[in-house]
Amino acid sequence: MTMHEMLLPGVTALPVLGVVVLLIWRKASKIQAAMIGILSETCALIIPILSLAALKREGAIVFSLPWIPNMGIAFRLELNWLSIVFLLTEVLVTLAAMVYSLGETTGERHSNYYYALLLLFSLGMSGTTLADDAFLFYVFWELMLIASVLLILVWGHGEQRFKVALKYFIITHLGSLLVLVCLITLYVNLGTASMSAWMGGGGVLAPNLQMFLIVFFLVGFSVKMAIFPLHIWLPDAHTVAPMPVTIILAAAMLSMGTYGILRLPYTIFSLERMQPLAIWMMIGGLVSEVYGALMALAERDIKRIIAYSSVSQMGYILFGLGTLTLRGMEGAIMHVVYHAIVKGLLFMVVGILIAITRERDIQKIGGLGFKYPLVSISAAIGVLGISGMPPLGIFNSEWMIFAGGFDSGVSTALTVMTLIGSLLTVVYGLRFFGSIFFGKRQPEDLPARAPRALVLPTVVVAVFLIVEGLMPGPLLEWAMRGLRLIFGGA
Amino acid sequence: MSLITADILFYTIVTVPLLAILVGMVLRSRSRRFLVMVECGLLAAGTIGLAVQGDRLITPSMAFMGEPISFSVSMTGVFLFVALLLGLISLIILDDRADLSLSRFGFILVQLSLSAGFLAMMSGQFMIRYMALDLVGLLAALSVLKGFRSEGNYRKFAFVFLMLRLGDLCLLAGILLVNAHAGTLQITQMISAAEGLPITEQNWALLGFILAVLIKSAIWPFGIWQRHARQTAAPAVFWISGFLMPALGAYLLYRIVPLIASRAMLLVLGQGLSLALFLSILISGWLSQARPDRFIQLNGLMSCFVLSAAAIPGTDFFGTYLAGLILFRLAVILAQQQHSFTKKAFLGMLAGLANGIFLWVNAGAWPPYFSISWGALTGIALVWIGLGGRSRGQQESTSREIVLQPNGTAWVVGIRWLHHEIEEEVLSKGFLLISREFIKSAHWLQKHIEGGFEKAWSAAITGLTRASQATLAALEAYPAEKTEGLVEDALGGLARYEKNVLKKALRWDLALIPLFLAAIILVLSIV
Repeated sequence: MTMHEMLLPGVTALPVLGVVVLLIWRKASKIQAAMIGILSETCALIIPILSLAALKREGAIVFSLPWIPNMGIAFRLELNWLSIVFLLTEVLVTLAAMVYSLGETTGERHSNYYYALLLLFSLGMSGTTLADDAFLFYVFWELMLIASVLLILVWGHGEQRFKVALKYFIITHLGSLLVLVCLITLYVNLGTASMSAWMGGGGVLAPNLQMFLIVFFLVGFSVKMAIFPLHIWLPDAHTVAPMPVTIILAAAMLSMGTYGILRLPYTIFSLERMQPLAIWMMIGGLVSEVYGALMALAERDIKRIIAYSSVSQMGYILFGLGTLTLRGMEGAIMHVVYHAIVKGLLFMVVGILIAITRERDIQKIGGLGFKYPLVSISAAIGVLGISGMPPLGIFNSEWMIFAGGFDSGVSTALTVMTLIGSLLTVVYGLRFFGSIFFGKRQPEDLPARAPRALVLPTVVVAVFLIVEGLMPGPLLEWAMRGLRLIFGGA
Repeated sequence: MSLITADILFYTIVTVPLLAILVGMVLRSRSRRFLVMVECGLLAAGTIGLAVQGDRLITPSMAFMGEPISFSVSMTGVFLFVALLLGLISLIILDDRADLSLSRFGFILVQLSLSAGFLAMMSGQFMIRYMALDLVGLLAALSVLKGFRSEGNYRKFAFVFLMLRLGDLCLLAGILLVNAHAGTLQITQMISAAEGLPITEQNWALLGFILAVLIKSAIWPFGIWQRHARQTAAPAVFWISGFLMPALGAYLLYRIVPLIASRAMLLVLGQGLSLALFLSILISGWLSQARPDRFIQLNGLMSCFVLSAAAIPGTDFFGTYLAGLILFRLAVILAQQQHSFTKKAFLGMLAGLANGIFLWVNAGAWPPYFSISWGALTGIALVWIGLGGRSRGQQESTSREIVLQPNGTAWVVGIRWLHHEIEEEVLSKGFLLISREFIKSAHWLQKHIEGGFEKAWSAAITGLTRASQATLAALEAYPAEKTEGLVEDALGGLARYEKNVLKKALRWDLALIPLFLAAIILVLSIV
């Protein structure tokens, strides 16, 4: 076993260690708990970064331990080019959320449990991206849900949080059950729980069963992606959750659905088998794009506006995946990363706005541009970013997604509609920015300056968005390498 | 000039405006004007220096998104850019405002536009060109803004930005459609490959390109965005919307000319479209009760001539003509500041001259009917300029201040009313109307669809909860009696059993069994 293979379980073990320490150290203050959380996540982040060279050499790093040998179930982790993109995105988002947490009031009480749950939430996502065993995949998949439900339940805002947590749990769990049905069916039919062994193996199944599994996988993962009409858990969950949790939910957890689609149906079944569903995925993507944008336009709650924009942005990703072309899927993967950065940034801005105005109604906020220039510049970068303005990242991913649409040859009109539909993103983005930062109307008793502890991470993310947009090379290369799992090639 | 020197010169032209931003930030506003003029002079000299070597391809061995970046320095691009620089210098010199200041914000916008405009003009690859065009669009929209206080200006910004973005998206659709077949983003190769596209896809691509050109060139009614920029931006900053953006639109058209020329049908359509747009601008101007801005209308007319020239095969000096029209735009701006009819007429003659020379150069190659039409239209435009030679400031350009007067015959009044309705209700207010309707429909969707989901969810959860409660209540109510009975039965049974057991005599012999087992275990353990 090489050093990198031995280090790999550290990505999951270090957060667990952090959780154990936090559970034992019950009197830890918020800053102490945060430091442990941040330290654990940073160490978990360093491991995949250190493994990059080995990954380039070997293509994949695998760690395996027998777990339930009688059932052929193993604690098997695999770091490959597809998983590393999602893993790094998720860990970075969690780190940013943990740092952002320091500047706001969430987690003042029971800080150790709060950060322990954030670590578990992150662990669920890291484990999902690394798991190479179906059983392990599902365990991490559900851990992600349980941790996030608890975070909403305990630290969420308002009396509604119980109902919202229940709704979130039930709906996403229903999606998870569909995935579970598929995993069990594949396990029974293919005789192994190893996801690597499943790759390309779906062809031996009966055609009807293949189609059934593909549809179940797509619907199940679409629930996590919050694609219309399976999105109904998202606006409430994003609104009620404390801001750091909202950031993780929107910027990282939604992308797990995309990972699931790419990692399971796309690698198990041939693209020819998926072809009949391509147009439906593209239509679903278009509808979600337009619907989410319209809802963002109609909303007055600033947190919900950004939440609905996630529904719209996930539409682009589904459209890209539906093209079944290399460029479309590259665009979808890149969109996951860029969306994570932009959404993190926008929610951070919203968090600052709520902190300084104590308002969430867009019609009661206005004229903040001159008073808080750094916040307004960050918001402008976020809005332009989500509108697909070059050179900010989403332009790059949208370019690839639309190019994939035309490459697919499915329907030129559909791609043109999706492309022109992106104008709606500009519309709600402009409304969001203009209503909040322009005009003479201002809420009363505004503080002289925005909290620095919140502004600093926000500005860092805004700068990161510009840098990522200007230098898309590495991300594009990783996405291309990751897609070799699906398209093959050296 | 060596190849490397030319490359260095090219990159210097791109970076000088960006560096000038740093210098300009610490200067006073009057000094910033001077800086821009000096800089434009240097950039013009540099660009001419590039042109000395003739057409060339600069390949910086860099790639963006996996696509190699290249820049093609052509004489047309150079002429156009130098003309634009001269236009900017003139606008700054001839600025008739009393304070003669160039705000820091405006200065930054102009500098960024210089850099992005040069890249857009010289890029040999469509992605970089698109990015630069998109950026110039944003800068043109930003030029409308005047601080954070005015919501009205923000609405204008939003309108300009949305219109230009629509043009960009149309362009993007065209580029990606051709790219899907060509497999490259190099403009020359793409346009060649586009000629071999299936007709349907070629039509889609052309539609995208032409819409982008119409919006960027600000031809009525696609160019209504320019009106807002004209009303609010300072003259030097208006250069972005009034000069740079239409020039980039025209240059885009220039690059897709081979695609238009590849099909006879497209040539006819192109001429028809330009004529229709030309007439619509004239009629719109004639019918207008609101004294529309002459610059905006002439800008539209010039763009129509450009569109028309692009749809004629064998056109020479097209690039020079484009550069000439930039200077003509400047003449129009100047004419607006003049009160003397003679001066206006003189400046108006420049337009005739520009078009006339172009006609004279190409007359041999063009079909006679086209030469005659061109000449006639030039004449109409000249007369129209002369008739419209009144001084009209920027503030007069809105039509809302004018009350409709029922003068003329009934049908003229009718047409004018119709025109007013189209201009005001459809085009000007149309945007607001569409926005409102859009938001209304979004609210409707929110109420009925999203609300429907919420209701369905609530109903499902309520139903499930009630069903569970009912089941639980039924189960609790029914077995409560049964359970009591069962327990009583069990207790009774136990009592009976105990009674029976107690009745029996105690058998001491049975007590020996455990003792016997213990002995066996003891023996076994010892053994």
